[in-house]
Amino acid sequence: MHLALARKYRPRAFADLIGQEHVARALRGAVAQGRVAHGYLLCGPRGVGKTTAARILAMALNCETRSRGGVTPAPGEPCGECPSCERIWSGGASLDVVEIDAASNRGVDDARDLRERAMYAASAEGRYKVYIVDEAHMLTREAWNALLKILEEPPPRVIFVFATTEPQKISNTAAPVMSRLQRFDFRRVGPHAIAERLAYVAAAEHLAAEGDACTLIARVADGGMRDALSVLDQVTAFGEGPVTTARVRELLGLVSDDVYVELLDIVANRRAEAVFPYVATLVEAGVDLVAFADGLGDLWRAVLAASLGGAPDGVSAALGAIIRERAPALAPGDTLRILRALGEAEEPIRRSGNPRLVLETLLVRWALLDRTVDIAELLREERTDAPTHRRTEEGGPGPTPERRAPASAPAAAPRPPSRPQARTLEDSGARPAAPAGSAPASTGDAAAAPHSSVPGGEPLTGLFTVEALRARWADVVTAARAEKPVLASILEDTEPESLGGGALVLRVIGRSAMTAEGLSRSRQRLEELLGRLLGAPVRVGTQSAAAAAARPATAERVTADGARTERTRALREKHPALDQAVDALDLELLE
Amino acid sequence: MPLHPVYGHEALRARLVGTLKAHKLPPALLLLGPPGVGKQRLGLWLAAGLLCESGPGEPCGTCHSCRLVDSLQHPDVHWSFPVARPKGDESKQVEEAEETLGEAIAARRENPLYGRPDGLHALFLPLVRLLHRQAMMRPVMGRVKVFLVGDAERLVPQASSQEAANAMLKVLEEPPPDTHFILTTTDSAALLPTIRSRLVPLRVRRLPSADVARFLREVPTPAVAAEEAEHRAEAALGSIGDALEQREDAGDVAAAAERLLEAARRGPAARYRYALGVKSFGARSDFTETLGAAAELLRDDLAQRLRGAAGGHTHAEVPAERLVDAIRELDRAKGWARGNVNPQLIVAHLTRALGELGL
Repeated sequence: MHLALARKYRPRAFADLIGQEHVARALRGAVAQGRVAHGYLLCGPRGVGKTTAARILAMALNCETRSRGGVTPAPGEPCGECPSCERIWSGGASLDVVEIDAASNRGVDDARDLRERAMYAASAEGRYKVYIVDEAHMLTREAWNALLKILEEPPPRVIFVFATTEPQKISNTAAPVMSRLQRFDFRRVGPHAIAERLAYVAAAEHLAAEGDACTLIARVADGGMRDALSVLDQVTAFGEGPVTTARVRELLGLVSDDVYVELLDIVANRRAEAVFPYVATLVEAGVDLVAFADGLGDLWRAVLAASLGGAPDGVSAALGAIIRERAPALAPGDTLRILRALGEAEEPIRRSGNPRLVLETLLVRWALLDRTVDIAELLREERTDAPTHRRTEEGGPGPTPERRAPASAPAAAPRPPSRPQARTLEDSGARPAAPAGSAPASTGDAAAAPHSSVPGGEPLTGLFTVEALRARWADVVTAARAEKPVLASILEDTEPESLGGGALVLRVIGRSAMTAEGLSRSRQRLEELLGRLLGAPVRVGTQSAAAAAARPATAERVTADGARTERTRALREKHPALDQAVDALDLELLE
Repeated sequence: MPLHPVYGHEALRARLVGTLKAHKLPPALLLLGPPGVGKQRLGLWLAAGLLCESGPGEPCGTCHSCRLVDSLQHPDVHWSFPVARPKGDESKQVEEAEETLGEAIAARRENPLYGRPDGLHALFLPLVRLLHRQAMMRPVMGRVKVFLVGDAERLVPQASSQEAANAMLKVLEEPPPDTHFILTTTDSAALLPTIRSRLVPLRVRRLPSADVARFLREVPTPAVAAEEAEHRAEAALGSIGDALEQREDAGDVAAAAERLLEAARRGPAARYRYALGVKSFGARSDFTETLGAAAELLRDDLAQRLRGAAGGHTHAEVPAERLVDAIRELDRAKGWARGNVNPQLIVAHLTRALGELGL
């Protein structure tokens, strides 16, 4: 009968517990000095040696060689060879060491039974009774409570060892237990340690194993020694010949480095059209898409490391070299966004009934990331330009905090939707405003030298003649839109008629009694806004009477419908809470 | 009626025969692959191979043992799969589970082509206890006993009840000497990591369309006509299960998906009218399929767009990124549907989200 490698190579001594030296040293010391506690809690992820450590402890305490004063590998270690050690090691029946599966014996009756049994002394003088309770997180609250007394003061030479992957469940269900037990936390085993152990096992089994193959298995095992040995089992059970990376990949449904390189190419060159054929090839080849997505995390992590100037680790050496070569083409900011998108998609890929679709959309998203990339670059450019603008604008009017806020938003979260709001009055109007508040170097000076947030070009503040104002009216509207889109849409349909003594008369152009209505209703806020933009207080008047009289028919017809729209719009403006509610609930304001 | 033979997987089977002959089959195995490719059938084939009277290897199919396995009557082959939750008294639940499972196996003996497990069926704790009890006994007539656990991800019917899965841990780690465990799953990520770590995984691939078509022609009664078999095999992407499940109303599902997208396009009133027209229960049935079909429609649009093909698709004016977002919304909605959320609520939310994306 074939025995799983993980069982066959279960360590027989504390010294063989790989990656858990801190636990091994403490337990070995306790045995050697005769200071063994009466209760232990061993916690840690799957496959790192919790049950094994418990068994070695039981072996050491009951080792016949030790009790005879014979030779053991080291003080506190079991001999690993005497009949007692052998029985305990294999999990077989032993009078004094009882291993209990708490997951199938989790009730209060099982705990009572355990308590009764623990009252009997060990089978012989000098031996210990050891109860190993595995998967202890599955014990019910009542079961723990039944054990509280005996855990606090057990009979002499009775030891309880609880092993669990989920200690937090125990602290939830039975907090008082925690203070009665000595707790040891096991760590994940590092990939290097796993690879070494795999090489050792392979040698002991007379298997030829490539070093790279061991490293690959170690990476897939994700810190679990048993996982790694299971994979080695798989490779040797289902095939002949040496253990190679190609065989490991094939059996685990992993893809070769070329496939990842192709993906880098698709994303870097924004070849979104190549995504669907690419995924189709993966599916055709029987690739495990979940494992593939895990590999993507390693890939982008390596790219990020490389583009930040570090060494790309976590991938094979060959892929690392390619990544180092290509990393300059991918800005760290993009890679971070890619990783974030991957993080969001990981759960859906696992849970979705259609992982292929989730993966496809994820890759398309990556390939289409270009717009955000461009903004990041633009911002960087702006940042370098910013100081010059600042100097030319010195002595400008006071800042407007509202203007600054949207301007720095794209830097914090460079997303396309926020872009229009960040537009400025500059001639190249498409550029976002300098994120003065967010550029680390300029923070202090931005606060010290307040000025108009209009970078470059002429500020709007000098426009004191109606001609000048008319000439740049479009800019004023754009600036207004950044703050108050609704008001801007009113201004858009107007034109400065006359300007004098701080009174600005606007003429309604085109259609729209709506605009006239809007002007009269939001006059006060328009005055505030224009005053802010123009740097001088203004009173707004309309040339309404004449204009309205000139086109009575149009006005009449539109009013019924349009004025109501405008009223509801004004209402939304006036009550921000209502405004949000309308948006959030997709309501339609009727009146 | 004996089981149909295994179709396809020749390479995998050849490999397994070698492993069987070398007595190297790992005692705790996980068959992992897409739905409907025959993982459990393959598990039974392995069981027959282990128990065959001519020694471990390719099952001969003619000896007493092989015939018993093929008619699901071998006393040393224990097949468990998701069943309804036992309702009775706690002390009797193991017996109840045994009975339910027995009936289900009898049904499969009559009609070996079974569908996907019901959404509420699972491998509950009593079933695992039953398995423990059987694992403690010696084999009745064979050299070994084999436990085949289908749809093993259902050991965790929901995140809050992991008792059954945990109860498997010890027995999987160190099975009794004459015992083999073969678990099958479509989604290894849904297994507990502690379970996965104890199993040797073996990947089962999709079948070539020719094998699927051959199955459709030869196995079901009434047999599928050659031409239709080809057609259905093509669409099933290498899954016999999918090919069998393809229903006559596949067109209806697509039409329902179209209606859903159309409602999203037509503004709030139409959305709510449509939402109110949906049933307020039964999210896990046709409704989930409709959502899936809608996602596929958008995917096709997206693929076409990216290929640069002009015209022919409905969302020409929507940017590709929005389509990506829309597909994600549909996938999320599908997740809710699987969690049995009221379909009306899902539709109301979904159509609004799609509308906002400009679809």
